[in-house]
Amino acid sequence: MVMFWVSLLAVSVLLYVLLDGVDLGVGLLFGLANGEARRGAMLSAVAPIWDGNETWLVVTAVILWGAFPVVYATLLSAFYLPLIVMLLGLILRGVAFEFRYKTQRLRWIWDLSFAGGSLIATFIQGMTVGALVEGLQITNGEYSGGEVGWLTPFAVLCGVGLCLGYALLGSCWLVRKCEVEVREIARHQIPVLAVGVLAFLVVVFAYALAENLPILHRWIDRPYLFVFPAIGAIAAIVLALSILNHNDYWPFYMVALIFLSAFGTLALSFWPYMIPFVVTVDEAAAPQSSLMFMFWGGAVVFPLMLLYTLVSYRVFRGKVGETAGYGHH
Amino acid sequence: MTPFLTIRQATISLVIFCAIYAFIFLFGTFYIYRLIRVGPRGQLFEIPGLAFPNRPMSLADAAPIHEPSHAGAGE
Repeated sequence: MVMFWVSLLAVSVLLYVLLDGVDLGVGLLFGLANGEARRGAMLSAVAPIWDGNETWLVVTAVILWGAFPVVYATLLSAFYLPLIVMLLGLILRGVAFEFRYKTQRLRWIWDLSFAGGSLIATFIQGMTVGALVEGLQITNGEYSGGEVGWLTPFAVLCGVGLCLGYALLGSCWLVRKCEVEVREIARHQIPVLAVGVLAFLVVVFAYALAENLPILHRWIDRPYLFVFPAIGAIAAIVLALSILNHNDYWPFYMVALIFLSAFGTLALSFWPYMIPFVVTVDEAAAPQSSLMFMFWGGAVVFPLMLLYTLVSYRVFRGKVGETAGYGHH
Repeated sequence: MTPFLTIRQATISLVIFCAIYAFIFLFGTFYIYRLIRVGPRGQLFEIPGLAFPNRPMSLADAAPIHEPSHAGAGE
């Protein structure tokens, strides 16, 4: 039963990172874009899917709350302010989608909110993972790091790294969904962002070595973990080839594969801990009766959610027409 | 009160929630005010062809409202 909920959690987190990573990344690139035509096309590329993507964040939170209450409580105590700010960033960018077409003079406010909200949310997600990897200060099962215990150079570095990563995912999505100008610009952004992500990974690895982070020992204990970076490296090579061949579809799948391998790396180097080296999955799990009670909710709702996600991506497949703006007629 | 959540943190989160929602609803109210000032135009009720059920606000997706003449009214 515990494994059922762990699997659900893993799938939700992965889907959230992959799917919302796309539209958060497009939001980041939106901040760099100029010209209404380009901005409109970028929004159209994510308009049908962005709000569905965020349901996976809700699912993640609900699973943590219901099935792993200790983790939910600890994470929320440790990251109280950053997570609230992240939610506000997501709210602001969601509203910006709707409001920007209602004004012309003040459109810049909503464009700024959209890009800014995406940036804040992405940065905080990366920073949270970074702080978890580095290890939270926990005494007697309670978080004791203080209000800003998560604020370390490593966590900030991870925040910047995730911004690069999501922007890379977003640029690949734009290549896939858009045409002409937007696609060409995104195609030129991919190598820059990919090199940025690579540099970030090198720095993270060097930092982990220098600081002798406990997570590194797991890698020495479990050499099979190197399968994931290997998959990531192969995906990066295919990504480079697909960019050289001007392919519109492969870059997105390859970056998704890189994210998948990064996620697998992290998940397996945490395992069996949920909060590294403090709380294991079994310790974190709610009582068996609670897990059983929620089982049918998960077993029925979860497949339905997967189904509607698949259906909505199928319905909105293909290229976005250049003039089909989000709010235009 | 939870042991780790300080009053300061709770206050900060309340203030920023209020600030962001005030910002959003200020613009929403302003938009509705502008719609009311312009008044009903054209057909009284027509469901836009591009209205999506999951986006209630798309019902109001008509062309953007152009500046009404009130800008110069006070001069």
